[in-house]
Amino acid sequence: MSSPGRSGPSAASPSRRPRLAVVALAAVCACGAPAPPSPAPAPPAPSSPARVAVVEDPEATALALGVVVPGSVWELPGTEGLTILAAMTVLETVRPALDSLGARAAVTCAPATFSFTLVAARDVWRPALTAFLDGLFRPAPTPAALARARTRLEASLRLDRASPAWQARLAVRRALYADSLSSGWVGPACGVPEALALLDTADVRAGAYRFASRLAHVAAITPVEGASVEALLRDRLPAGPRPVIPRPRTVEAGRRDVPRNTVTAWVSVAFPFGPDAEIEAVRLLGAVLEDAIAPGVVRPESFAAEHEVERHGAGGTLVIRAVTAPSAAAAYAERIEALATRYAVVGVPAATLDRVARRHRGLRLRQLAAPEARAAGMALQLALGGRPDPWPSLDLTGDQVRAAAGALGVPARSVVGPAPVEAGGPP
Amino acid sequence: MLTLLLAAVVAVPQSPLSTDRVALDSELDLRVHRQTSPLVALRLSSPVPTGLPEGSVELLQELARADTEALAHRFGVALELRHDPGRAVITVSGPEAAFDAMAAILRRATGEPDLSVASLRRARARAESRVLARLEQPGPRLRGLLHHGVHGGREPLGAEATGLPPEAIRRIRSRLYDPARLRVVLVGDVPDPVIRSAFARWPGVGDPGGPIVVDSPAVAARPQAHREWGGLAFPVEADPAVLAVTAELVRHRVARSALRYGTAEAWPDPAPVLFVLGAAAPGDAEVRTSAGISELPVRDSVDVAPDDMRRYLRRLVAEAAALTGPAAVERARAAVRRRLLLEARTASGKAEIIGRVADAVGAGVSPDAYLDRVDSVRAAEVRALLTRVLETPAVTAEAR
Repeated sequence: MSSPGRSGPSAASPSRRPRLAVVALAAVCACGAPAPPSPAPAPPAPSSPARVAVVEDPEATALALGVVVPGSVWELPGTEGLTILAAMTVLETVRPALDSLGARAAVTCAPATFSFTLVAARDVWRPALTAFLDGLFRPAPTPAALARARTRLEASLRLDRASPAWQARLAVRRALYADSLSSGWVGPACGVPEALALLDTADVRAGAYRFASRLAHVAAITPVEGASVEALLRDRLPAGPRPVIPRPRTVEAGRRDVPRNTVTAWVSVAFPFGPDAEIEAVRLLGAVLEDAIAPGVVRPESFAAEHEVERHGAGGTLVIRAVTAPSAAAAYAERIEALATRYAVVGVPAATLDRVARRHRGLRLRQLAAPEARAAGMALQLALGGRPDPWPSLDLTGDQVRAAAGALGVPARSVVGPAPVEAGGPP
Repeated sequence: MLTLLLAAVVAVPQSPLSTDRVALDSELDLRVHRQTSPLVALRLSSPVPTGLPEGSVELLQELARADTEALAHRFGVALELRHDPGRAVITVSGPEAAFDAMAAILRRATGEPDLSVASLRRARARAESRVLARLEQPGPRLRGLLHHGVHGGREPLGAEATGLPPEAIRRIRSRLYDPARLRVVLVGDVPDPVIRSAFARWPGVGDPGGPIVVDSPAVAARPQAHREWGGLAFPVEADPAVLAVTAELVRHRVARSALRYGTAEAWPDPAPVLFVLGAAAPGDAEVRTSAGISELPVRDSVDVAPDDMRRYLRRLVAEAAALTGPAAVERARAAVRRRLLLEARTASGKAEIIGRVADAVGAGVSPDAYLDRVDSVRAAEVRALLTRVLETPAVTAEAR
């Protein structure tokens, strides 16, 4: 090992990796499988895409599963939150069985995709996986499970909605997708408390059918018995065409200011990108842009900065968010946009890229530290037609980051804060 | 079905918590669990010497915080500085490429502190708030009181160390971070020469000896509780694995009691203790301690005076003993093992589990052997331990 912060994987040597063997990363696709019964069967696709990936990791201490299904964009006004409520009700339904096995399940929500995760110790992987998948793909929500799920969800939503961060996330989505036909793109992906109160068991049962196995992509990281895990997953996922991950009808460079009586302004700049953009390069570019507006002695008007990547069937969005003094909000938004344009032409300065990439590598690897995070990432990659790598390559060059900047579209922008927001000096 | 096989190179199976000891040129006890993950985790722990002023751990950690956090930030490394009952613990995790920086963070965190006026002022304020949070919140307070009651030392009254002069702080550091007392666990794929280089010449610190005099707490704790809290600690001779399974059995019973909150824990370090904690909301139900425990509805509430709470907790332990059979013990064994394996699914979690087990069972027993021992715990052993527990006078504490 050389100096700290060097990039790239360490060189393997017999002394360092004494117990090496080749095992398989298996991606199962539906090719050659019997077509599902249908009154008017479509002609078979020449090659169906993979929907299941299994990675055997003998060093793992637990099985981790990620299941990605289409998200909440289909929700109509008045039903915002039905998808997440259905998801949480399903989890509440299977929780007793999982608790008895010491296994844990969770769900995260986004407009385009929902991700379920499961972790179970290796001695109970089979009953835990069976209970989880059967509960998910053959949902039987009970009123008691619905009541528990609603209580938990309402409490968290009330907390969320009081936060400017929640407002900022919603505002920039409205700026970006204002012209979309589906209200789901511009609504809160995880619902609102008022709508939740009106939903009953029948609604939730209908919502849970969105988690049908024919709509799912699944990935697992398992310590043992990869073939057995694969067989069980294959048994639960019928062959068929690739489920379509929702994509927005339109993306526009909108502007949306949300007046709010706060002492800070929440600035969001959202850059759309297409399906061909290199996603890890986009993330690194996001870290570079975040670094350029982060709080520091030279930027006293900056209080916080972050970046976020949201994906959908037509690519995704890189969102750069800053919390600033209200008078500096516009200048910060312009600086973010100007830097992205500049980096697409001349690239990121080498010293800046080295410094940010060193930190970003650590943060990104830590995001993927838990096997269920890697499994969910793999399932999402499958859903979007990518290669399901548990550890994506983070050895990125300046050219790749410049290409990522070039792949960004014209951004949408929003400011949540005191109105009118006056432009300040350059940050 | 067509199966696409994409070759990947990973390690063949090994024991989930196996470790090797790496010989260093210092007295540090360093164990390595080798795994081919791009992440590396380090955990350093040190037993807190009996008699140190309350807040010593927090003060030294806060003196090191600014420097170590800055280094961690440069490499995207996670850093945690904490004070477990009886132990100072520092954990770092990050990319393999940042291993040298992570070792440097541990070295700085345990090294000579910055005792400049500005650094001391900042560290004192932060340490004080951490100590008061620990001593004023009922759960951590009861843990601290019971730990003190069982193992002795100074009664935790307030942030004593934050008022000490620099010379006393140097002496505290020399005792807390004596290399002969430090245990380091490394999880990751790092070659031995690199490890030896990173931990070479770990500075020894001469302890001039003598007491560290504290007249009174710089800031006294003012405990607050909105519920009736009670805790029992039973010091008993026990195998750590048997103690862990027993605690799981009692926890299972307590979790299904009438208490608003309840738990049971095994404290194997520095000497075995079975710890039971409970909280009840005052005035929201009739006094129920006279009722048969099995008649109480699950997750109902109980309204008890402190004496009643102690009797109630002891009764829950007796109830757990009465329910102990092969099936219950098998369930408890599986729960202990699964919890360990789930927590160990990340590099940092694995370092934490290996370190905690090593702290509990000592240097002579491997964590894998501990897991095997958990699997072999018999109902008769658990019953015998619970019998001894119920014959043992408990150390008690309460917060209202």
